[in-house]
Amino acid sequence: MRNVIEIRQLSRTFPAHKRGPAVHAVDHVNMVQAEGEFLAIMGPSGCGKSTLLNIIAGFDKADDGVCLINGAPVNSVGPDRGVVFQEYALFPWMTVENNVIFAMKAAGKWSPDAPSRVSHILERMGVAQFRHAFPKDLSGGMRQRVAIARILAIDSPIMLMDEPFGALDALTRSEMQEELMELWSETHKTIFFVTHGVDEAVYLADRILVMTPRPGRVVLDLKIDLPRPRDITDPRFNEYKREILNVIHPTLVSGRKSARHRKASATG
Amino acid sequence: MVTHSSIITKMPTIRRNLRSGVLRWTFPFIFAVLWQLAVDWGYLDRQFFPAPISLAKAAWGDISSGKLAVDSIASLGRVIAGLTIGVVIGAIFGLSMAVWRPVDTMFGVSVQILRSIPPIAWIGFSIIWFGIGSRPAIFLISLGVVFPMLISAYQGVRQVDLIYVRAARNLGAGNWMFFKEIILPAALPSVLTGLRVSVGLAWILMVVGELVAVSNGIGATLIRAQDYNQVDRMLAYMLVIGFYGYLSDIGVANFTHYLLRWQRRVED
Repeated sequence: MRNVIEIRQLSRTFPAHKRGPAVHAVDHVNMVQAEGEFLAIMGPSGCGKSTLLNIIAGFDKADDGVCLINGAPVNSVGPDRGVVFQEYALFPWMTVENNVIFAMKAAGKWSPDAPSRVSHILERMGVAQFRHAFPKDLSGGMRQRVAIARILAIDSPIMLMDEPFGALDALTRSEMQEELMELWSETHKTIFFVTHGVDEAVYLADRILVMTPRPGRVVLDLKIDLPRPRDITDPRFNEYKREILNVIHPTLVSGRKSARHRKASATG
Repeated sequence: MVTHSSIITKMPTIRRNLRSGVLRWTFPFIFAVLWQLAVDWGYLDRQFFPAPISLAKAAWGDISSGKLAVDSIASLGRVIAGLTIGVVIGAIFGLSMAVWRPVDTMFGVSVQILRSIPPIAWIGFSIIWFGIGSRPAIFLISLGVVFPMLISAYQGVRQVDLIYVRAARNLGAGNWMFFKEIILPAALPSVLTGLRVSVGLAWILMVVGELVAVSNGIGATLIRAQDYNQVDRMLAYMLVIGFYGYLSDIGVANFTHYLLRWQRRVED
């Protein structure tokens, strides 16, 4: 498979300021992502995962190293890399429908058959009945559906998702994860998915890059070899979780072990 | 979401409006009654504190003679003309300075110096430049509202949330579309706050502008009443100005409420 995103020796340091010292948010990171691959970037907060996404999106610039999209260096922001933000970033002054229409016009995807495409996509994301509502009248889950609809409408080959379900309640989050899986298996877009949820990453991704902070580095590159749809109670699912947690939160894994030990010795 | 209206016990809307309407005018009514009694019983000197009934008589005289209507139309015309000129120029400069750094650099110092000069200080030049009649008054009103309008338009653009900027650029919006569909609506709440302040100021400046050089208008009649020591008419016209200010503020508030219907509000 062709590499869509390629990052080599990428570094980004936020300079020291009044309230704190310089932060090496991303430190000599290397990674590639193949076309159609679902890649999850995970790690604790401050590990540089969102910085990496911002550089790929073109919102931020690296201090050193290269970031290539389809072989060309990133030098602008553009609709070929549609971003889904944690805070939804819907335009509150536009109705649901107008948010999607704006996206298509901005991306130069407006055509005579666009209105029917808007309807189709709103239908597909289950928000058609809210088409004339303003974002303030929608729940978090519904807002994120509209934000995804907006990216679907402009048909970005790459989707950059920055903790998209982080602000949702647990039930809505698992619903959204299932739907995203369905969408991805229909469209096979290249998805770069930033998360801090281990379960979410193992449930969704083909491959997981685990990062640790200070400095932000990739410490584990893990391919998830489980059939889809995945069973989160599968023992192998747990094996993957353990492997990741061992890296980012070793005390949590060993802590559980010692708790079990204590229990065993108490009863035995 | 827990909001205000869910806390307050629901009443039928008409009854609630009636009740709040009665409550709203209770204090002014009691105040007027006490005032009238204080004058009638000799606690207040008529010469200095004209009583409500004699105010009403003075007002009725000017209403039936048509003088109040002529004065009101003349003053309203000046207020509208001055407001329109000042608001349009202020908004154009404020937006341009916020959007283009060179424009900001070029005019920044001049704006800061000019806006610190009280409009009243311009009275002399307003007559030297514009002679007598409505034009000096319109000039003063424009001059007074142009700066608050400029500052609020400028601030409105400067305070647009970065997330909307990123989202719009990511979708591929070009400069004009970005300005028209994102920057303008995002700055609108601040622009409308500026408009509300400007409308209030315009009534004040109307009186200043009519101090000299005009033969009719609310402010002109007020000043003349002062010269002839017609205390009833003086106070009656003062209250008329207050009443017009109140009415126009309600108008602007309703207009704002409609334009910003997409905003999350306490009473939603």
